[in-house]
Amino acid sequence: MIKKTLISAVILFLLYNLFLAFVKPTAGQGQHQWQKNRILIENYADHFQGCKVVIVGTSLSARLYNYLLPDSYYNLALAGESVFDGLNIVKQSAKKPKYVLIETNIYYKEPDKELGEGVFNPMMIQLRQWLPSFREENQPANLLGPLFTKAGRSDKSGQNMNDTAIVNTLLRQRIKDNQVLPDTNMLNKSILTLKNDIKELQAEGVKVILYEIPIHCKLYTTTRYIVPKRKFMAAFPATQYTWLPDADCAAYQYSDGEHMNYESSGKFVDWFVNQLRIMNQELRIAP
Amino acid sequence: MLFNTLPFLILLVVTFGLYYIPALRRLQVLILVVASFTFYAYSYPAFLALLFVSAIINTYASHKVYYGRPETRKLYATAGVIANLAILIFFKYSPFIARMAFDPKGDIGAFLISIPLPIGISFFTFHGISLLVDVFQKRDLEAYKNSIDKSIWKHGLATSLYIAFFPQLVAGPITKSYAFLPQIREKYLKDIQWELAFKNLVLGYFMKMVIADNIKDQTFWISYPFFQAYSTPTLLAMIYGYSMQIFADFAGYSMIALGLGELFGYHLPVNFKFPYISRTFSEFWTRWHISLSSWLREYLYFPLGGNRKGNLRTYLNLMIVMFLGGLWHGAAWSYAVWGSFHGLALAVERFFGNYIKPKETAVVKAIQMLSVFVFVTFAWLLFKLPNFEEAMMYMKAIFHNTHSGQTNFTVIFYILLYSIPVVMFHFFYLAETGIEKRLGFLKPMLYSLLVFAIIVNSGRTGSFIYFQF
Repeated sequence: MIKKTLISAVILFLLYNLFLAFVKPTAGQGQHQWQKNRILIENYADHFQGCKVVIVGTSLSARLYNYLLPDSYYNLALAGESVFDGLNIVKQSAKKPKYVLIETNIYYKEPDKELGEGVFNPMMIQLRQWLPSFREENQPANLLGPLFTKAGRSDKSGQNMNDTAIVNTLLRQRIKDNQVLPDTNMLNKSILTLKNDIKELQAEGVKVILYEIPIHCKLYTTTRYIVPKRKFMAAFPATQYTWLPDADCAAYQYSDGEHMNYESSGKFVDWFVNQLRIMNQELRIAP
Repeated sequence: MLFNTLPFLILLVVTFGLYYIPALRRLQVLILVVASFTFYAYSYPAFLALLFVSAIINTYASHKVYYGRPETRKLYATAGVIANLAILIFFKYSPFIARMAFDPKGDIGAFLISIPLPIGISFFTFHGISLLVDVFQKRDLEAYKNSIDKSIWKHGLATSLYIAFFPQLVAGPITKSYAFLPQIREKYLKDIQWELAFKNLVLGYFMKMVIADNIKDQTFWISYPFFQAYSTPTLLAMIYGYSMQIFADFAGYSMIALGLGELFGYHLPVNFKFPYISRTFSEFWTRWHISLSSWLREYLYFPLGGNRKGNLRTYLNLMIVMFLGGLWHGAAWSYAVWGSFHGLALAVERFFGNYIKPKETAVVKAIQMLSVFVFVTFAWLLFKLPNFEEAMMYMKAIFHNTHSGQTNFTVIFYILLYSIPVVMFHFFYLAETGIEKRLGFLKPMLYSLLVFAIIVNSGRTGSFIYFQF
């Protein structure tokens, strides 16, 4: 029985890889947040290294979806993860982008060591190339998702909260939580790490632009926003670093106080890309 | 060290290789003890000392109980049990006690709160207690005749293996000493029940890596404050998903443990027997975490008097056992409440069982099964949200968000998809279709599908839920 089982499993595995290679089925965006991040990273490593502009950030920027952005951009902002996860991927990649845009809102979060593990391992790159089942997006369940649920294909349904009462509850909770200051050591450590990372990228000819993503206006007066921001500005002053101008928080709507809803994400992308174009004309530093 | 990681695979292969070398056969127990201590020390080296101390205490005390003077046996057994309980209470419950009895910011409070929780402590201390009680009470059992060696060194090795055997070290099954110690003898490769080991390993890894690890990332949103944004259908789907996840996670772990035990010639007790088909709460506890419930029955419920001292005392005993059983899972009131819910359910069921005998029709059976499942599933919420206030907020959201909140179809779809194998697993058993006999020729195909799923559809590696207990 054991021998038959193992032989059948190998045959199934090979057939599945042939199916993926020749049929090229449409894969979902990922079954959950972590897998979505992993797919983004694998796609970057396998297809988008060396693209002109890369965005790194947290879940706040993760909603600037790649399909909303111009072709020369790649968004490596990872929901539930830190700025450093995206930065580490860019640092590890053989071909560097021309510009890296770094979200500065929540810079004080440790990277997830597991997330990008092995993505640039030469053996894994080969395996992903020759045996597509090793790509995260090709999990059988991920192929099934879009067949049965619209949500597997759309980001819209996941974010638009039409219940004001719930949005307000979440916002109130966020304001309450934001009265607690992040650990000072963590803030200092993150600033130091980010400085080093930026220096490293600049040494390789990458231009770094810092930006803040808008959040609900009421959150700008909370301790958790004010203190880290003050520290960050002292470490990364506009006189030494290139900053994108701040967006108007009142111009957007938020699904939970912090994250913009789907329509606002699109609106912000337009503003964001336009600002970079203006910078390009005025300063000749952006595309 | 997790069962589904490369370091574990290396440890397993090396240990297995050394274990069956004929020239090293006399060192088999030592090899397993070293491997078990390595397994434990890999992630938590500091706690190895505690495991070592526990092995020494239990070796010495049990040896004295068996070979010591008759008048001192009880003393050693009692002292040994107290030592095990003291270790458990100090490491597991100090922070809990500190929060209730001391100022958390004061010297004593802060110290007690800072005490780390050694992984698997609830399991290896229960093994120690089982050894001491059994050697004291059941010393005449045939099983012990050749199992308690006169040489304290050899007995020390056997005791160390019993409490630290790596397949069962951090999350059970909790094995009784009279069932384990007699199995310690020279083992031969030809005696391995390969098919049994293979089936347990494949099914166990499938349950853990494909079912539990994938559902885990959907039920993640049960965390506070995220769940508040979801609609009732999503909240219900997530709690159902957690019920499936915790079963797949723990039953999967137990099956892997059984399979690994077989590879080294040790038969560990079956820990799960299709628990979600239970029609009564007492049946549930003969199917879920069987080794713990039988441990509690034997070492707590019976000594308290069991059901021999009248109805009221029986109900009280059930409540006490389940309350303590709840606290065994974790040092928080939510676990005690969870245990008390089950204790109350058992008591109420027993009370009404004396007067009401429903007809055994299919509909009645289905209603009973569904009732037990729904109760058990909602009670798991206290595991996922140990902060009682948050668990209440979740329940409130279920009732409040009937027409509001976000209905996340992706979450619902994947929870339903990944729960299918768990449901089928129970259904085939329930239907008593004899499918295994009739479709026996398809068995390799079925297991190959499971192996295939493990290779291409495993979720992100997550720690086993029961490791925290």
